[in-house]
Amino acid sequence: MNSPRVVCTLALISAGAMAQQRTVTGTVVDATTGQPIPDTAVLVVGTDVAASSAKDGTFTLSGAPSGPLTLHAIVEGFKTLDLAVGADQNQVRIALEPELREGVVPSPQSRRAKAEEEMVVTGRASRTERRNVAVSVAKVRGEELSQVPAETVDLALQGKVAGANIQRNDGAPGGGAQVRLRGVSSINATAEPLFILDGMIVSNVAIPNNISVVTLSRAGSNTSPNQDSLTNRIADFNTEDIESIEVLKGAAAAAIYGSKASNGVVILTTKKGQPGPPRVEFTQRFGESFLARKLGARVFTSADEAAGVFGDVARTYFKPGVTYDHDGDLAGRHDLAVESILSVSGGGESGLRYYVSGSVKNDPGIIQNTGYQKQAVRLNLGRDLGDLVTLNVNSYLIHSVASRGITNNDNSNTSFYIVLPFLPNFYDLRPANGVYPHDPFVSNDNNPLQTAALMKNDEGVWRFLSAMDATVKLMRTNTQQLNLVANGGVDRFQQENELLFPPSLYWAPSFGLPGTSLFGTANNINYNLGLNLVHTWSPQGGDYFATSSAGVQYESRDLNLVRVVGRNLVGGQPNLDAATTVSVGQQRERVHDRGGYLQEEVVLLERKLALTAALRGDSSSANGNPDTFYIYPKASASYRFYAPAASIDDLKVRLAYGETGNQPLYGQRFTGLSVSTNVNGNPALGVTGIAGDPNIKPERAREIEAGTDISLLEGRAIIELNLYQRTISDMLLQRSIAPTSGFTTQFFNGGTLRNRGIELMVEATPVQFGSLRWQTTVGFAKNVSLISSLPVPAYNYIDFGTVYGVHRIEQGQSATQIVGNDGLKPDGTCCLIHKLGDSEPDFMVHFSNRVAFGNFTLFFLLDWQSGSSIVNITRNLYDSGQNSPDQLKPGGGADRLTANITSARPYVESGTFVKLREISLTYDVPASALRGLRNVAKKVRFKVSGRNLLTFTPYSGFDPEVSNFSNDPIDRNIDLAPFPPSRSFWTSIELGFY
Amino acid sequence: MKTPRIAVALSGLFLAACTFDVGNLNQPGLDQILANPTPAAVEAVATGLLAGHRADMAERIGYVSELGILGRESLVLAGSDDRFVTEMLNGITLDPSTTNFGGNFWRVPYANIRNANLLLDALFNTPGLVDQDKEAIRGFAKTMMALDFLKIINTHDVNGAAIDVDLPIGQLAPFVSKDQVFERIALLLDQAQGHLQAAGAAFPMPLSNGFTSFSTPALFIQVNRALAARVAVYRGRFSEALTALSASFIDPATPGGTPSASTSLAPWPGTGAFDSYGLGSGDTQNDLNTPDILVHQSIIDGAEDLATKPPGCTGLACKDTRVQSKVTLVVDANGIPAPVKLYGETSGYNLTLYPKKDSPIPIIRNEELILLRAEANCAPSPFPPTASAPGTCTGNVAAAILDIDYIRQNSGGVPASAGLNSSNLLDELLKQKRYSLLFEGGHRWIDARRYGRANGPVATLPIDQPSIQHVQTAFPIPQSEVDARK
Repeated sequence: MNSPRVVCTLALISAGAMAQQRTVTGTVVDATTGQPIPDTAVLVVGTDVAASSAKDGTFTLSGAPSGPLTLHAIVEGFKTLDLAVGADQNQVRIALEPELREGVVPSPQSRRAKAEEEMVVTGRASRTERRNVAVSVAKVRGEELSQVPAETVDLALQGKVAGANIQRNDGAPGGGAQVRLRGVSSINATAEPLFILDGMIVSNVAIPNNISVVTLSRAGSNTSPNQDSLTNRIADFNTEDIESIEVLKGAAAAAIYGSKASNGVVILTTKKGQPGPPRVEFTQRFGESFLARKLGARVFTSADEAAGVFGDVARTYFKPGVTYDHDGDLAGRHDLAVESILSVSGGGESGLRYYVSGSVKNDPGIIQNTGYQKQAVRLNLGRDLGDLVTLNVNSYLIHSVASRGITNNDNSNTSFYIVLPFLPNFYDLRPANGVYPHDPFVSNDNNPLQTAALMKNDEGVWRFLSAMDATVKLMRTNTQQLNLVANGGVDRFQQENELLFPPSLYWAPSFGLPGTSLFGTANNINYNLGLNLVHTWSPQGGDYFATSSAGVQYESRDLNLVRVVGRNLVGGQPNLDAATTVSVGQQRERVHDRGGYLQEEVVLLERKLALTAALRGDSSSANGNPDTFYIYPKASASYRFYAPAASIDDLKVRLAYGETGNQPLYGQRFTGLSVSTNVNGNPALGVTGIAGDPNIKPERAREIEAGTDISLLEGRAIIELNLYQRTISDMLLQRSIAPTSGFTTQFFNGGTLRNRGIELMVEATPVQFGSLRWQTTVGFAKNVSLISSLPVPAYNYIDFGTVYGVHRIEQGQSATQIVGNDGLKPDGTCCLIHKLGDSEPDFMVHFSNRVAFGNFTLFFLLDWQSGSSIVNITRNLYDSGQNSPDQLKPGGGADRLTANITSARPYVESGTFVKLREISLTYDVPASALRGLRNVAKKVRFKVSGRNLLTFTPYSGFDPEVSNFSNDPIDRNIDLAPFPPSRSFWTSIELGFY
Repeated sequence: MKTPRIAVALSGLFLAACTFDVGNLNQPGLDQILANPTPAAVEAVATGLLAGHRADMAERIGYVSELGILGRESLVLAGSDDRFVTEMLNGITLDPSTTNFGGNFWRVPYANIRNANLLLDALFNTPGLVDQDKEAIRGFAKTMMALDFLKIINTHDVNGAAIDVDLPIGQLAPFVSKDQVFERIALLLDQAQGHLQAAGAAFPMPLSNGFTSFSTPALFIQVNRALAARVAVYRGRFSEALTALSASFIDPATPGGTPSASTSLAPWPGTGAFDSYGLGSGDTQNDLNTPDILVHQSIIDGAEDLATKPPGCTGLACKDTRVQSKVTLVVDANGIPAPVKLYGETSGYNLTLYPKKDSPIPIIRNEELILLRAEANCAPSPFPPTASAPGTCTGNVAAAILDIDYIRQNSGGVPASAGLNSSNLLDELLKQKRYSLLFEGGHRWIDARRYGRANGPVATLPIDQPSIQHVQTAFPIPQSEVDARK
């Protein structure tokens, strides 16, 4: 954030004054270069005295006990050092060796120290050491994120934060994942957390690519555009640039973010340069992706059997014993993926610090014409202007193209897995002499392989982001410091969706106007401006210090979406002017937000007790009254016990309360008339069916969190336990209203949703013997959702009806429950509706392990989710096509279909899974072997890794991580012809030149 | 301390800077139209009633397609959704919870009724319009509202509907019986006639291409009366129907007119009022031409031979011209017949009534009027018929036979009827309606239901799955409506 160094230093200087004290001063330098190292934590072992080195590497330990001491110095990028200091030595020079291997497992003691010293976000412009923070803040470091290459930042977080349920929506290249922190907190507004990058709110919108004009997925009553397999735009950020991610999971931690934070806040901090000579890091990766799972199809044994299902046309093609692998033919590609990443960082005498990185990635998909390409450049600059002003500018430019095929729900027989369920596997779809055979089993002749070969669905993004902050030291005395922190930034992107379905596609004539070309452009601009005053006070000799902060923020976002659809393409030319029929749509959103806060953080009683209180007020033009300020308070307290019992080093108990909001979406205020339909060119107006609420206001989340942090056995084990209850009231609901009123839905505030849960994290080092170290982390999270009041009758969420299973919003039930038909009613009509499942898991466990032996490091991460349910409509497609692999077996497709007349049970399946999410094996070439290269490469590392290599699940579909409705808050776990999942392997070499 | 004071001062400055409101960037507001209606906006709402009416007609899940399925005129055999068969043909009951399968025929017409009421309310304070123009708009709006109520009651039948729906959002209109709904429809049509008679020479707003023959209030009355005739027939008020027909656009040259007048029987513009579709940006397209919309086999099987068969004809080529012109064989890429088989249903024919994305769909047209006249002249009794008394003509049977034969010969090309009498005329009439009005809005289903021929001993709708014992005769009241009334 803005100026952690200054705040941090001051905070640390305030060590308690004890009898027989002395003051130790010194400098921390790089042993190889002699350059000073700032931000080094220096502790007096066995005491609570600590300091942090300043920019020039100097530090002052006041209140150190007399007699011989051991100093413990720890900083990112260098080996930790324990230094003995004599009884009368008050000047020290600490020279630290650069850490050659990122993968090295630090000693438990240093891990403990690191965990405690770690600065975590507590305010808009302030940070506090973790030991004094009264809420749970999960922090994931950059090297943990990029352990195994992940397509996007959100996917890199999978299985790394207890209480974060991060799931992909499908296997389409380029991302598309939902992050739910502590369950679902909203039904109709956004359920995504707020993403902050280098202090600036960045856009995570997901913009439909409009493929629904071809799939006709919205032609049914289900008009959700979320069926386009959307990419949420956090996908644009480069994992390798991330220094750390902090996750504020609930209102207790996130209250200072006010009316945007009830789904939690994810704070990304990019890498910054440190003073010193240039450090050059280069990573080259090669990878391959493979179809992770096949659905298969029924094997027919005779022409009669085939004709019985497909009609006499089947006799022409049936050959006994000959089958084709349609899954593999469609999604069996495994082309070479390449990624190169180069970064240079450092800092000069002039006070300039820099981090520059560039990356190029080409990751082909498993289906022809799909894949993800990305080129990104980051330039982070920091500069001190004299002693009083520090300026940081962090800029990022990215271009990416995701080619995503045609998947998910359709009503036009164009989506790959809508067609394949009705295609017998004795029919060969592959081209003969370059000509694709027509598909005689579907009315529009669609051969999915031809579709994949000729179509285009490219989502191109250019995004530029620049976040700036300036810290001005307004006042600095021995005991006080007042800083002005100004920050601001621009996040600008343009998403261009170019889709082409040429007239030569066999199914194109079935559209009447053969050949469809789509062009969509979405322009988004987010502005942020903030002004903060941070005052720290640490009385000399006192055991007390305080941080007061106050600030104001202005944020705006503006989205302008223009979509053009051209049909009947002359000569198959994709240009829109080659279309005889063109239709255009435009949609705009603009929101201005204002807010301000006051926060007070105090640490007292020998730094055992930490208290925080804050108030935030927010207004937004998205609210019914744009001038009303909604107030969000928070308060928290924690108390530490030093060595309260044998083998317990440190125990902290904490209690926090906070409130946050969730803004209405743009337009929920308004009841408008549709202007987008005309009658033969004559203007027409009419109601849209959706009634707005002129008094709409933000949802309000109230969270109480209690927890404890325990460090055991000299840091060999660290335990964090959280209990929370979050109550969301004034929910933004879209109630069904009686359609006889001419409207079907109306937005309003009402109802209460409660999430209760428990999170447990244990970090331990079970084995530490010689050069063998095994470090393990286990996270457990359970969340229970309950709609405790609902002012409207229970209603079914959009979805596809109770015949397959549908989400139902109902008082007294989980917000994510799935209900479905369950037998005939007593009067013989269809059907009783019962709860059949829930799309939220009963619990989640992640289990990560790092075993280092010599120069080898093995890392693996298991991700386990238990008890969620999935509505598998894809399976219903195969069954109703009488084409499931188990069609005629007892309990197979035919039986499921029969049962389905009165019950949705056959298609509501368990989504429990255990995934080997990440695994990597690293070999660091030892320094001795690099001696010849001493001045060239300091680090040479080889790594083989894999993502999602193994999945253990009873689920019959492709992947239990699935969402036909992309990031819809409630509507997850609907499986309807998704993009098949892949597993990926990578080999990489990493070089470091310092 | 100075700090808080500075902060407060800065905050105050910042927060009070200016207004941050953002209006609706995408749409004009409903309140705006009511509070400050301009002639242009009012006229756009009027034209919008045509958009509201056609909205749920021309898609696979629309009125024409789904009523066609229930009436065994058409099928939708699509991999993406089996419910067109499993629910609509084979289901025990229709699902009230999805808007795809029935809910649309409630939601869409009621939305358009809201539009019509909004328009009627706004007219009171539209200073820019002269009274004659207001009357023209009222007459048009009430006719369209009647048509929307007809859509609602045709689909929901004995389940009833709400009629006094011009209420603030949140207030619920009571349900009334089917008869009361029909009464309201007839009233609206009569009121509309009065307004149209008081209107000027032209409508202030443009109508769609589906009303090219009825583009003035005076001509539009002919459509209004045609609809009144249909409603009167549906209500069993046959003399009223004959009166209304005489003021409608029924071709005066029939029956016994010149054969060239047979063009007035074809389902294309000029012969009636149509829902119009278009290819322009923002216009709605007719999607009733996808290959998964197929013909029910009973339509093929029931087609009679032509009076004069072409020499050497086989199959369809020998049959009723109405079938020949509305149906085409499904063939594969090599031109070989390729029947579609799915979910136990098979069909070898597609429908060709709406070949293009801008093909219009009839609202009411001359051929129906002639058949309505035959029905009114037959005046079946009892009304409604029962299984034991399935309907005997009590009116002018000879006039009815004249119209039926006119249709048989001029529209179907099949021989004149033989042996028709008061007891078998009704079934022959329904058969002619089936072929003349095939796939134009559920006529087979609605007629079979009206005369007790959907299920039971005199059923004319085939049941093609032995496991299913009945034809669905009405869509359920949507769950959302039921829920809102709990």
